[in-house]
Amino acid sequence: MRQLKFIGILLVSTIVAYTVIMLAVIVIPYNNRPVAFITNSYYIAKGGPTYYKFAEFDKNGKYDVVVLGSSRAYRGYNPEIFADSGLVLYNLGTSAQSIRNTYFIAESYITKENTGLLIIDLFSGAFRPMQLESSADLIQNLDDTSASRDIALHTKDIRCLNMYVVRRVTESDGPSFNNAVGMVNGYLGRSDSLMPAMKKYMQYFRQSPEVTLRMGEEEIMYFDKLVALCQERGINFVLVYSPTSTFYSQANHAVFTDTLNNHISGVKYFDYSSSMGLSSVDCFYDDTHMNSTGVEQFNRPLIVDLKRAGCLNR
Amino acid sequence: VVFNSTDFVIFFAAFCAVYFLVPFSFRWIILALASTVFYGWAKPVYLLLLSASVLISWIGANKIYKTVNPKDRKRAMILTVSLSVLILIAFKYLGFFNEIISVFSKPGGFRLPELLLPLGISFFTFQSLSYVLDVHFKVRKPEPHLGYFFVFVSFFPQILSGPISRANELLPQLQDPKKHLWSDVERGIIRFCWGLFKKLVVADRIGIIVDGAYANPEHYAGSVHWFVTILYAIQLYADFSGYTDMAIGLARIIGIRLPENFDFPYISKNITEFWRRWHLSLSNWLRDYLYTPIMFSKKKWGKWAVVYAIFITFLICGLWHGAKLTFVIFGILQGAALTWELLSKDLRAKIQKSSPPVLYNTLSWLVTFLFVCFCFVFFRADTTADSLLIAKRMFISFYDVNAVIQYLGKDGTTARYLFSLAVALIFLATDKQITGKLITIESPGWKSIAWTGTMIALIVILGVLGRTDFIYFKF
Repeated sequence: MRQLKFIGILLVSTIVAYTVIMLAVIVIPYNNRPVAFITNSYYIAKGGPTYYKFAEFDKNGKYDVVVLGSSRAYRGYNPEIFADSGLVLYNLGTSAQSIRNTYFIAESYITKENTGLLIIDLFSGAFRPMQLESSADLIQNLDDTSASRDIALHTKDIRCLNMYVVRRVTESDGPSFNNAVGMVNGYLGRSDSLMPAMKKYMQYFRQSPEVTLRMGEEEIMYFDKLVALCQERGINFVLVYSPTSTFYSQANHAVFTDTLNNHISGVKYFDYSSSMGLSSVDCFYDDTHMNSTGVEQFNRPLIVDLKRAGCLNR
Repeated sequence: VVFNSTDFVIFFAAFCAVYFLVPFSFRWIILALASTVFYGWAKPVYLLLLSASVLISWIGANKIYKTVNPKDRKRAMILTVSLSVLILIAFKYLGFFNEIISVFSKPGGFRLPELLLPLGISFFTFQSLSYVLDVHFKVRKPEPHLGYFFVFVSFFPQILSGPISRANELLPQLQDPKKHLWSDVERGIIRFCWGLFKKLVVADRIGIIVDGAYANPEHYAGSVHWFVTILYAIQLYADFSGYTDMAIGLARIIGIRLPENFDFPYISKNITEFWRRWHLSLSNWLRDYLYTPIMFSKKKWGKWAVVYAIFITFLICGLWHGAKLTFVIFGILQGAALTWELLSKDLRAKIQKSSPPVLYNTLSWLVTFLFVCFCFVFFRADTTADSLLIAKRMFISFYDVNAVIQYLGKDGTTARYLFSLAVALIFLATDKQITGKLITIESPGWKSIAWTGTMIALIVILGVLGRTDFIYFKF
């Protein structure tokens, strides 16, 4: 009896205290945001590219190509270049999007009907375990509440639950900022090039033969689930590894490719990580992200390759 | 695996389920297995080292006990202690010797091979040494059961960062089949949650402010270094006493009482008092097994025997914390302060008599606290050069308030930093009352349980999650 009393009081008091304190830090404003934002750095405000690209994505529309992936995706596939080939592309890439979150986005947003071809832009970094940045961004900014809830629950990090509570309580508030000016169908290009200082800094990583990539087992499991989801729904999809600069670690990429090869039999995979000959200085703004010049040089041959492989026949 | 991880919570829950199910006479086996899994979790190879340390102390103590001739007895003790200390030196101090060699040799010259520091080695070595010395000084008989002795040295709640228990405190509790009380579980859980709060809400939050200045000390004025070092003092206390609270709480859940390790050290009015309140299990160890024997061995030197014993003790105290020159400097500074207090006792008594008590006490507290903070520079700085640079700046540009304001505002973090400062101040203001109550509470009522629920909610909401290691793990 005493045991039950202890556990009961502990549980009730925890829930009551959590509710009261959480509501307080959400309701009390500081600088037009909930005061919760000053208690920890992981909170992300509503607004910006992720918010607008999901708000503008039409689940009932018809897109020839939809792209999922990390910032390499949303910086790397330009709808205007695809439009030149008569294709409507929508870019759902988001900052640091982990493969786990790619799965939840696909589950909520992608259907056979709205997507002619799904490009899953791969990045080895998206397979690292426990990626809070991506989850926090999506929990706050997805317009689909159930997808947001799934991400909050499946990231297995209590901070994501806090983030989800903030989202739900502030659901009726509009976005608090917009730095997505110039975004076209989810694509936001950059025109700057690799700075000499950064080039010098990144030389170290190129020369380092050390493998720093640690792929999470759960992330690989979610990749398998993503492939299975696409197959079950009859979604036409391909995997693409977009170009990287010469500063990108090939040691890490070799580990990534070795691991992935066991999971993609029968799936079309276009690995451009080192094969396109893009100038690292002129076509990238850092080691892994292309600028608009790089995107131009990548997207046009990609369209040709996709057509040649029969992926764009819809 | 650390206490503040999900893995540990699962591990401990599974451990408790099995521990309470088996009859008392088999519980030591469950404890030994759990301690083995806990310690070997990250690097199973270190279990060999732990086992070697246990065997050396156990066999050595038995040998000492059985030896009648005092000279042979002393030899056996010296051999046992030397072997244990040799293991400690081999795994902890080769890097330090390299640091010294590098001062006198060319870059790329001769260096000793360095081994990776096993977690908790300083703690479990001192714990087993105390047992050997207790047997030698006839404070206790040797433990005949190797299994119980293994649990005494490797007891998982305390192996990584203490408190360093004495055999007379812990071994009888492992063997006493007293009835387990549910109130112990309640008290253990409450104490654990308070420790977790200290670690995640206070220490790790402040750590973010501290880390910035210590990462690039050359960029900041002395005033910033004073500011962050004072915060580091709070961080270190919250981190280490938080760990201790968690260790004491975990042990309490299974009905075992570990010694207290802190007695509100930052209220001390002199360094002697500080060491009676800070890391008590280590200070008491050093007092009993080092300071007192050294002092008595040189008693014909009179007052200078005390000075000599203080310096040797605190040099070793510094080195115990880490194999770096910074810790030697830390030890020397403590030794110097304690020597000053010893030699100026009469003078200070005179001043105290002629001064208003409030003024004298306040100044004594302030000077002591600032001195402790200053010494912590050598605890926290990454290199000796960094620590000397910071120390120098603390005496030159200590008045630059604008630099502190600027530091708080870097990267637009002012509000978050100020919030963290408020958390730290509230913690300091309430710690004595809360911890004092937790230590003495007999049977927690609904208020205490509800208070713990609030702590858990605060940990979930305000905790800085993701920074896992405890500061004292590296010692």
